[in-house]
Amino acid sequence: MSTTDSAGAPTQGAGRYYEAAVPLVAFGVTGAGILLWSAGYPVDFQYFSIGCTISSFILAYLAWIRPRKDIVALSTPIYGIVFLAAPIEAGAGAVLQLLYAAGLTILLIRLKRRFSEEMSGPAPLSPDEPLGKYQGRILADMPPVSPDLARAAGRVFIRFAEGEYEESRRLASVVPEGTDGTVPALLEQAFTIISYQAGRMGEKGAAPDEFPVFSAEQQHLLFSHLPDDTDKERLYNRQLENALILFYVVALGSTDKEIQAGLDMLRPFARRLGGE
Amino acid sequence: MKIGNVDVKVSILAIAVFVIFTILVIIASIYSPVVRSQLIWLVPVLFMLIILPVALNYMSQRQYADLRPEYERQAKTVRIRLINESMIGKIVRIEGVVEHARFQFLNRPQYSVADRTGAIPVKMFTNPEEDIKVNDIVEVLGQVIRRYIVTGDPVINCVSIRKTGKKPEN
Repeated sequence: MSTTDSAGAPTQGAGRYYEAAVPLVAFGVTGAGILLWSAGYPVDFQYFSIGCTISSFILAYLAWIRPRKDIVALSTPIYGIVFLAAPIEAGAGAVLQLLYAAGLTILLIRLKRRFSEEMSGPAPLSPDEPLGKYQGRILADMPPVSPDLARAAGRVFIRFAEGEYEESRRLASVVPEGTDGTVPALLEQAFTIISYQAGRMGEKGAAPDEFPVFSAEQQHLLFSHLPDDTDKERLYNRQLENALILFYVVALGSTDKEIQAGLDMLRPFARRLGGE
Repeated sequence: MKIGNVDVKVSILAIAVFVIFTILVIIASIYSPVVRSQLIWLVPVLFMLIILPVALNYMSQRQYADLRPEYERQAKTVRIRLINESMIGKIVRIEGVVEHARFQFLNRPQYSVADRTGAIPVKMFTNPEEDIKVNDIVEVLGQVIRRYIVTGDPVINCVSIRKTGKKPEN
């Protein structure tokens, strides 16, 4: 029985059994130990932690097969082995194992909520938020963007956000072709702006006298309006912010799972660029 | 106070603790012969209340002084708005104006530094090289960390904060 699909995620049927097994085995075996102990049987409670140990390995397996690894879930078998190896008297052992079983259940819920969303890609932008509205405008007014272009935009955005400016400059200096062999002028200019400014990142001092800018005809496609020419520094900063936000919304159309996971993590940054 | 090349400062809190306990010991020794008989170890312990903070401050100032050249070499000048969670661990340089300054009396100052693009908290775990006040224009060298070490917004763990100017009153 195949338990994973091509993306490495558990298929629905098998995955559900594994997920159900985590709390069932942990609480079940601990509960059995408590029942035997209450009935007066001489139990060595240390060995009833085998249920929690098995559950922790199942949880670690579920975390391992996901594209993004959850280090917390992956490390639970360490504690499971410690509970199995360490002698403990019945009363304290029961409490400890019940708490550990509860902890494993909480980690399972966390794994499903946080890491399952990332597997299916970032949540769509709400049409009510500024970024969502901007995405709507771009989709309506700009020609469709090829997957390669979306992926390239995503890589540039992610590397820039990570502070890897030199690599971002290098990536932005190569513009992949669009669906019909051309690249929308807006995107091409955004690549130029990011390549230029990423190359100058780290330099102290005011904005240069001349720098790449979006044209007047492209203003209506930008996220935020550009300030007066007289405030050169604000103009310089705003060019970059607009270019980055444009890349973010364009990259959301990428099918690359790694790009999607990166963009999802960087959504607060994209919102902050937009002034939220 | 300078010890070697290191400018050492004791926080007002440490001085206050030393003064309070000294007064308590003096009063207690006046009224209690038991306390007087224990002065042989009480007095050294009292001095430790001031010597230990001095020693700790000296050690942290030395460590920060050793770190500064490395941070100068590695730091990238960034605009504050571009600092985000993906930059945790990166060494950065920011330039801006100090909008708020707190906890200087504890030798654990926290500043809010703003440039044209935004503001960010700057935390320091020892006293700075200079006396930094609100409205000072500063250059900050530090590492991007999480506010609460493992969670929270990105903040700057400052290794060096130096004045480069002062914001005009108008």
